[in-house]
Formats: sequence, structure tokens, C-alpha cells
Amino acid sequence: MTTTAFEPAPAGTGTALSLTGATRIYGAGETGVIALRDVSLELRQSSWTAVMGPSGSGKSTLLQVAAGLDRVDSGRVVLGGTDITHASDQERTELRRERIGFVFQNFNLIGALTAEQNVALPLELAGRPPGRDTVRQALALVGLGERATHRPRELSGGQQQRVAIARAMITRPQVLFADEPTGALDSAAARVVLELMREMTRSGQTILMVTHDPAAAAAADETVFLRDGQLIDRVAGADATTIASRLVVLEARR
Amino acid sequence: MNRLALTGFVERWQTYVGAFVTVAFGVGLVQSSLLLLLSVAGMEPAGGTDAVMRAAYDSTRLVAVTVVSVTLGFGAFLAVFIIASTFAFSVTERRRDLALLRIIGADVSQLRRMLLAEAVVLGSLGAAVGIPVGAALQQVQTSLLTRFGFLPNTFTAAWQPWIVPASLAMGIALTLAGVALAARRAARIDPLDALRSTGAAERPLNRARAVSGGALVLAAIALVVTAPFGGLAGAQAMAMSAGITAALAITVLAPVLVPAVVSLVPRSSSPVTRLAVANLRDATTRSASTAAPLIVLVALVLSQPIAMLSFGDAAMAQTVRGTEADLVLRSTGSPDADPRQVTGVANASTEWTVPVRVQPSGSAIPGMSEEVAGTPLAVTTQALVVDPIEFGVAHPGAAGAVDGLRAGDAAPGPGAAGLGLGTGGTVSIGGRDLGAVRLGAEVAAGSGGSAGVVLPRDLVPPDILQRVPATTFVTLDDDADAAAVATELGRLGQVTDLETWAADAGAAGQDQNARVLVVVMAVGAAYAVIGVVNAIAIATSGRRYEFAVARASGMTRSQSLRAAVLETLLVGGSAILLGAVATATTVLAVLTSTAHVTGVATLDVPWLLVAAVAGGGLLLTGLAGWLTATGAMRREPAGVLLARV
Repeated sequence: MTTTAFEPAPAGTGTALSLTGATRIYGAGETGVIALRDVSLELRQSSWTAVMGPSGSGKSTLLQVAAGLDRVDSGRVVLGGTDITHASDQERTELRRERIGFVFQNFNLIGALTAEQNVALPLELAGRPPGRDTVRQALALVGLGERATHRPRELSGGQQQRVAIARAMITRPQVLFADEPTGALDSAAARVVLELMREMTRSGQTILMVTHDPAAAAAADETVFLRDGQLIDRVAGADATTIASRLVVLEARR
Repeated sequence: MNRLALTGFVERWQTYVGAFVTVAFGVGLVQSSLLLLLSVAGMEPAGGTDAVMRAAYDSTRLVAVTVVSVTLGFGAFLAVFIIASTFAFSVTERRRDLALLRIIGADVSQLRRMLLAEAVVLGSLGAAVGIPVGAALQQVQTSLLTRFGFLPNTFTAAWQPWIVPASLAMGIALTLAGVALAARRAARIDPLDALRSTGAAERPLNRARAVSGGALVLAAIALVVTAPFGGLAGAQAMAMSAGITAALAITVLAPVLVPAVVSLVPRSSSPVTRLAVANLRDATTRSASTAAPLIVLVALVLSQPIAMLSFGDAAMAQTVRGTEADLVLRSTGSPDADPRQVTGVANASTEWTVPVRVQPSGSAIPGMSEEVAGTPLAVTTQALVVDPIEFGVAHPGAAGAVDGLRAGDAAPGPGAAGLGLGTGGTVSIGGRDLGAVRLGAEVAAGSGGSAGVVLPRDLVPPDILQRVPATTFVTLDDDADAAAVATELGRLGQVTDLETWAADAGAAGQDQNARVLVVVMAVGAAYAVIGVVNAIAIATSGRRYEFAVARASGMTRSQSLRAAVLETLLVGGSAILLGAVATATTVLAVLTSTAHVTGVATLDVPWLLVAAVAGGGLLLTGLAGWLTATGAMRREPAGVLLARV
């Protein structure tokens, strides 16, 4: 795999994504749950940030809010210089089409479509159907050039996740959001996926990744820790053991 | 995106089998009914037929047109209903996929277009099969209609080449109408659903459902309340509509009602029963969607005959009460001798039943000039031809309306409501013009059967009266020897007492109604099978994973199979119960209307049909549940559980 082939859309400033005082409350009154409490976070372009924390700490909410899938009750979300805090449904749809990519734990490929059809889908939805070569090239970048006409059920978990990455990258998103991307993979397949993500950041891709796996977090540039909806810690360049022990401390204080 | 619709279609073909069959059957039925209707409307009696035969021909043709039109409407309504429930299901089952498409950039209109594209594919394919099916159904319908005497034996419906594109368009229109609601639901899917491992619990009753359900309940209540004031014919139509409206209301509110009915099942110690009940109450939307077709069909199949039979009985009972006669003489054509001349007879009112055609005069729209509004449509109906004086004695309630009838007069009959006769027109019998008549006061119900118009004897040539059925109502002198009079009258025709005559006439009328019902209900039953099997097949086949989990938790294959079948049976049972509740509104309307119009509440329930519908419905749901659950449990649970990541 060449390191120059991933070409994310260039961002105007050095900041790809910023959250300022983001707060999200589910429900209202007595039964209301504060999922995110005054979280501020800034992702530099080409950075890879991992979000860790115990279950229910607000990791998923953080990802959803940052990607414009959910709204904040207060605070601000700015993606690539655009304030998306109050974006309409149509604006959010266009945002998902043009400027962000998603990778999920369970791949979420469309079972009825082949690998190349899955990869082409976002651009088709955006009304810009990609040429066959573009799609094949995207698949080749994730090492699946030979599997273009296979359906998801004919691929291993690791291969499916790489198709999902190719699908997310085909629109050259400003930020790639990854929700437990290695959660359903064996360690070998997980390593391949993490290496792929590292190469992407080298060619300028910004990544926000939620994970439970200290090894995955260690692959990122920086790891932030959430507990009870609050950002309480961050480490840069730590190894898996350090991250794991921080997490144990967090869990213990609950 | 259209390719996505196509591949999605191939992937989920099982979901669409039922809808496909429904479209094919619906298109076939509409096509065949349409061709029949055109041929029947243009039907001409053979050359050389006289006026009476020609008139009789017109009147059977009218019945045939009515039966075929009802079949057509019924077919189209049920097709849309079943297609709509199929797609509603399909959207629920594909919630996650649709949400995923939203996440990777599909906007709401793209999802909607995708579903509409699926509808077009389904509609075209269904129509392609439906066109030959329609040709076959045309044979079946024709033979049913001729066998039941609605059409002459020589009848054949003509094939029209334009029906092919028309049926294709019909198939697409039916599916598009059915899919419209599901497309709206798909548009409301939250992209976040793709991120959740299990779909967020759907609220059983959202606001739109509550509002439309409430509106339908109000409509059903309004129909029941106003039915008594519609006259017998209007009340019958409203009573029938009340049951169907209530059934629709219940299907809309089914996510709440079905679990409520099931909660009546006593708590069981058996884990199989507990699982079945729990599953049913948990998946309210699924249970409701499964129950919906059965609820509508039970209500439809029960409320129509109940209303028809009860109002028939009520009308006949009313006639008996409105008629003063000791003896009734039945003859074909005028009696050979005048019954009034028989010793001991105080009054004899001979009444002939003749099919007539009335061309109302004046404008089609009251108050607008005829040049603008056009001529009103001619009315084909039955006329009762009477001697006004004797008729008034035999039917005291009608005395005022008929007393003054001369050759240029006529009275609207008890069956005139809704015919649009106006204040006068030209009467003809089988092409023979009888001249213009003024229409005066209406003959009250109970005095003239269901005739649309009552004509004085002077108006109708004797040679016509000689050839149509006649009934003579005879009252005796106080000191007359009833047996002797009966013997004397017996030379002129068949003599019975009033009650016997009423029972015979009622049975003949109900027989005609029953034959109409058989033709229409055959269509309903066919849809019932398709709709119910379809709903259960979709609901059960999508539950492989759930069944595997049950088995992994220690249930045997036969236990989880029993739980699945029990669940469909409980849904089926609730649906039949709720269908019966909907039918109860028809019963209520029947009771209040007959009481109000005739003074006596009348109800005629065909219990055999009720039993058949209930038993057949349960058998059908059980069988369909068993077959699809067996299919869904074919693979070993471990394989199913692993395949899902």
C-alpha cells in the first residue's frame, strides 16, 4: 500500500473538528440523564484521537454529537470551519455525504450489494457516481482489489471492515468517525485495520475513534478518557499497558 | 439507488411473495371485473324478445353490474390494504438498513424514491402475472354469475386489447397507493438507528396513529348514531360501513388493543406459553401488523351478511305488519277470474311486479338548467302495479299516497330512496313507452316490498300484466267461510295465509342476497388467505435469530416451535375477537335502525358463517405460523447466532 494514495479533502485551518462546552441531556426533569457534560475537544487535522471510558461514560454520545447525528443541548460543534450546532436535517445529510465518513463495529455493509457497489454507494447517493477505476482503486488501497465483486457474507470480518473503510474514504471526508472499529475482529485482523488507519492519518486524514481496546487506543496519537459524560483525562503517545491501567483506575472510581 | 432497490428486492424476495401474489390477484380481479362490467353494460337481449323479457333482462343486468362493481371495489381495496401492510412490515424489518443509508448520505427523498421504485417493480411484475390470471378469473366469475342466474347462459365477456396496458398501470397504481404510507414512515427513520445494536423500542401508539384511530372511532360512532335516520336502505349501507370503519379503527389502534386482549390470557406456569405471551406483548407493532388483515376480513365477512339478512328480515316483518290480508293468492299474470267476485271476499288487492325503466325529467342537478347540468340518468327498478283503491285497503299505511293515483300519476315506492327519481319522468317497460307520470307522495315502507315505484293499473297494458308475477292480498267478510274461499281462490293460483307468504317471499329475497354474497365473499376469502398467510410469513421468517436465542437458552426445537405457533394463534384469536368487536358496531346499528324504522329490533346472524370464519381463521393462522416457524428454525441455532455480528 502506498502512503500517498489516501487523499482527504484539505481543510482550511489546522483544526478539523472542535467541540466547545458540548452538553447533551437525554430526557427531562427528574429522569433526565446527562450523557455529555461540558465537553471541549479539538482535533487537529491529520490527528488520530481515541475516546475511552467505562460503559455509559458518554463515548457514543460524543461521537454522535461530533458527527452531527445528534444535537447538543448547549455548546458548539464546528466541523472543518462550519458551525453545525444548529444544522438542519438536510444540511446534516449533506454533511454526511460530503464531509464525514463512518466506520462501525459491526461493519454495516449492505448485504445485498457487492463490495464495490457498497463502496460506490455514498457517491451515488450524492449524485456523483464514481467510475469503476476509482472504486477498484479504493478497494486496492485496503488490500481488497481482488474481492470487488464479493458480497459481504463471502468476506471475513476483517475484510468486511476494510470494505467499510474504503466506503467511508471514497468521499474523502474531513473527519473519519470510527465506533469500535476493531471490536468485532480477531487480533490479526484488528492489527491490519489499525495499520490502515495509521496510513490514512499519514496522508492527512483526521480520525475520531471510540474504543474499548487499549491496543487500538495505543495506535492513536492521543487518547481522551470520559467518565459520567465528562472529559477527565488525556494521554498522548502512551502504550497499551499505560492506557489499560488508566482505564482500570477509571473503572475503579465509579 | 434504483439498483439498490432492485438488489434489495432480490435479497428479500420472501417478504414480497405475499404482496406479489396480492398484486397479481388484485390486478386479475380488477381486470376481469372491468371487462365483465363493460360486456354486461353493453349486453343486448336476443332479437325477437318482447317488452317484458327485455325489461327482465335489464333488471338482471342491473344486479350483475352491482355484483361485479362491488367485487371490483372490494378487490382494489383489499389489494391496497395488503400491499400497504406488507410494505409497512418491510420498512420495520429494514429499519437498520434504511438508517444506515441515511448515515452514508441518503436523504429522505432518496429513501422514499427507493421504496417507490420497489413498488413499481413489484407492481409491474405482479401485473405481468395478473393479466393472464385475470383472463382465467374472467372464466370463473362468468361461470359463477351465470350459475347464480345473474347472467344469461350465453354470456361471454369480450377481451379488449387496451386492457393490457390498463392492467399494467393498475398494478403500479395499486402498489404505489399501498406503499405511500410506508414511504412516509421510512422518511422518519433516525439515522442513529444504525448505530444502536437493537432498535430503540418503538412506541406502540404515536400521535399520528392515535389521531387517525380516534377519528375512525368517531366516524364509526357517527355511522351507528345516524343509521336509524337513513330509511331501511340507507341504514343498511351505514350499518355495513360502521363495521368496516370500526375494523379500520381497530387495526390502527391494534398495537395497544392486541396486547390488551392477550393480557386476558391467564398467567401460565408453562415457559412455552409465557414466552409466547411475552413475545407477543413485546413486539406490539409486529403483533398488530399480523392481526390487521384478519381483523378487517372478519369484520368484512361478518358485518355484510348480518346487515343484509337482518334488514331483509326487518323489511319482510314490516310488510307483514303493514298488510291486512287473511289469504294471499300467488299467480303468474293476472288471475284468470277477478278474486273480488269470489263470495266472502271483502277486498282483494292484486299487485304485479314489473321491471321498469324511469327516465326522470328535468335537470340532473336541481336548480341548474338542464342545458348546463344535463339529463339525469335513467333508473332501472321494480315497479309495483296496483289497483289504487284496493291497494289502500290492503295496505292502510299507503292509502294516502295511492288513493288519488290516475293514469298520469305514480308514487315513489319504499325502495325509491337514493334512486333519484325526482318529481316525475317517463316510464317504459322493455322499450315500450308508457308515457309521462307525475310522482306524488311516497308509499311508506311496509306497503310495497322494495319496489322503486308504484304505478296505477291503468298505466300498464294488460298484455304485460298477463305475463309477470302477481300477488293478491285478500281480506274476508266477517261471516265468510275461510276454507271455502281458499278452495275457490285455489283455482286461480297458489293460496296461503299471510305468514306463509311472507316466509316464502323472505326466503326468496334472502336467497338472492345470499347468492350475491357468495360471489363477493369468495373474493374476500381468497384475500383473507393471502393477507393472513403473508403477514404471518413475513413476521415469523424474520425471527431466525430470536428463535436461535430461545433454543440456545435451553428450549428444544419443538418447544420453541410450540411457542411460535401459540403466539400466532394468540394473535389470530385476538384478531378474530377484535373483528367481532368491529362487527358488533354493525349489529348495534342494525338493532337501533330496525327498531327505529320498523318499530321492532331485528337481528339475523348467520352463526354457521361466524363459526366458519372463526374456526377457519384460527386454523389458517396456526398452519401459517407452524410452516413459517419450521422454516425459520431449519438451521442449527449455533450457526444462526454466529452469523450475526
